[in-house]
Amino acid sequence: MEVYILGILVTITIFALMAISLDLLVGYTGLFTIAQAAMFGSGAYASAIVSLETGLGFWGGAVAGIAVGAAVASLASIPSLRVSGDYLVLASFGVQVVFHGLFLNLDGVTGGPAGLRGIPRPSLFGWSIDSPAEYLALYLAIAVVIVAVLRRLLASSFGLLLQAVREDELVPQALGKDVLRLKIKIFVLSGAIAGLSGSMYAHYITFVSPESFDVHASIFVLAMVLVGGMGTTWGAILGAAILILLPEVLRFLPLPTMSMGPIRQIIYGLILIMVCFLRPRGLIGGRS
Amino acid sequence: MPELELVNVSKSFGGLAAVSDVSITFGGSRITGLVGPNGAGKTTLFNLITGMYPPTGGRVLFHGEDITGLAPHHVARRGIGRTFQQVRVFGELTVEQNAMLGLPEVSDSLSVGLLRTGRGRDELLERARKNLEFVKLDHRASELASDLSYAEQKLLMFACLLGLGASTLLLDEPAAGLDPTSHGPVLDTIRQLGGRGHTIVLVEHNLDVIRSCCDEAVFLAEGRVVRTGTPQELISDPELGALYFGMVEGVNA
Ligand SMILES: Nc1ncnc2c1ncn2[C@@H]1O[C@H](COP(=O)(O)OP(=O)(O)OP(=O)(O)O)[C@@H](O)[C@H]1O
Ligand SMILES: [Mg+2]
Repeated sequence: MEVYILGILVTITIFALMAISLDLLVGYTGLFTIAQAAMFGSGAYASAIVSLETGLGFWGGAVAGIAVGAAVASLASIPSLRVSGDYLVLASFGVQVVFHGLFLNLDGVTGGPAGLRGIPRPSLFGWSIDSPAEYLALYLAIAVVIVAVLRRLLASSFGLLLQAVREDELVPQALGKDVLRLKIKIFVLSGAIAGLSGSMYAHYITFVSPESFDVHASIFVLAMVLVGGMGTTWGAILGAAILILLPEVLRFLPLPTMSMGPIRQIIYGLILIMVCFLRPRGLIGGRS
Repeated sequence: MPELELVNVSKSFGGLAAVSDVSITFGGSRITGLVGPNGAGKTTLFNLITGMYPPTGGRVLFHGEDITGLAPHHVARRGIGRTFQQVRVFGELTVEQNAMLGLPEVSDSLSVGLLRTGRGRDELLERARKNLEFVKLDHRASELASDLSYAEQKLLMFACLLGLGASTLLLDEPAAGLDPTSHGPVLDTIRQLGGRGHTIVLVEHNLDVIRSCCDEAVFLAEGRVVRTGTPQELISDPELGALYFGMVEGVNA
């Protein structure tokens, strides 16, 4: 039981980082996108491949995951330089579909539908991480560092400019701000964090396959941000916790085994709809 | 050397010539009025100068340098600031944060964002506060900009613009939509800015405002410069009056 709970907490930590990375775009900057699983997945694959092929282990893989996540994000940022609103959502959806297609079909690199197995577990100064408690300690430490740096950044003048651009893109330009460069930077930052969380995922599950990185995964993370509250780091964390815990809690409902799957899905959907109606600004009332 | 010079600037939108072959030199006087009926091309002229639209023809010179086609943020950094015809403040930010946004230090630089210490930040706040004091909004510094009145939001746009430190200010109908009692603070601010040595171009429909602020005015109609002179000369010109009021009434009717 303890192992089970610790495992859930590790998963929450990974997805909280991913939700935070998406919230940088959606919540802080007003760039509505659904391609986070493309960056998360690219990071996961890059990390898996590097650690499997080179023996650089989790840390080498994480660096690769960060770099590849950032690179994919800079590609994904291109539409945002020209279009916004609905068109941006659509364009990012395209990015998501393309990358899922690549994961699925680049057999030689990604292992195709079968994915990649046997991804090594992390080690730290020769001490190998393999129990959920050790994973939780390592991943929480990483997450705390990232969140601390991000919160400092978001509270700075850089964060102020992000919030301004969210409201109005033209006035900041008239005030001498390079809005395009700001957008590229926030995409790259978001992709780097998503890539890192992908790497953490890969080295925790020790197996990656395309279905973990499809459009449902992107929507799942978007739901975390919306439920928790946009534009607040805590909201993204809370949203991740709720959406990971919810199915686990529903699993304990006394339902007949046959109908369990569909009923869980329905309850899950209803709770999401309820949150959207009752708390349109998310549970931690960020911006609407 | 003139501060700002337009040389045969034109802009058409599809078949519509919004600005045709306009040549004006700004900077000979401190505050120049830009008047003309609705649709004359005044706002479009600002958009051409500030790089929001590329002109279809002609050149924009600033301190003798060709700035035609520069991106808006480059034009701003060179020293041309503007306000917009509609009130555009950042309603979800505080008054103080709005004023900080104008400062050049508030940028997309991650390292500045991460490394700026408490002291550096205080210094920015201090400068933002000064600009708020200038427009007499310092007592509302920590309120949300959306909680300000319309007139106060117009003043806040000035405070924000001042942070940029631009030498030339293009003001698009700063007094429009204000009742005459709140004209005072806005006009005082504009006159003081002129007194501080800024070159100001003021678009305004209210001729009393033009008369009280400007030493020189340019009359624009259907995208062309019709006449240049002192505000008094333009106001007393019956032909311009007909052009102006004919069109203003035509639009308002
Ligand atoms: N982005 C645009 N696309 C198409 N037409 C435009 C655009 N901007 C301006 N116009 C047209 O150009 C002409 C000049 O408009 P502009 O806004 O410059 O006038 P103005 O002198 O500022 O008028 P007002 O006093 O009403 O503000 C108008 O006919 C307007 O419809
Ligand atoms: Mg106008």
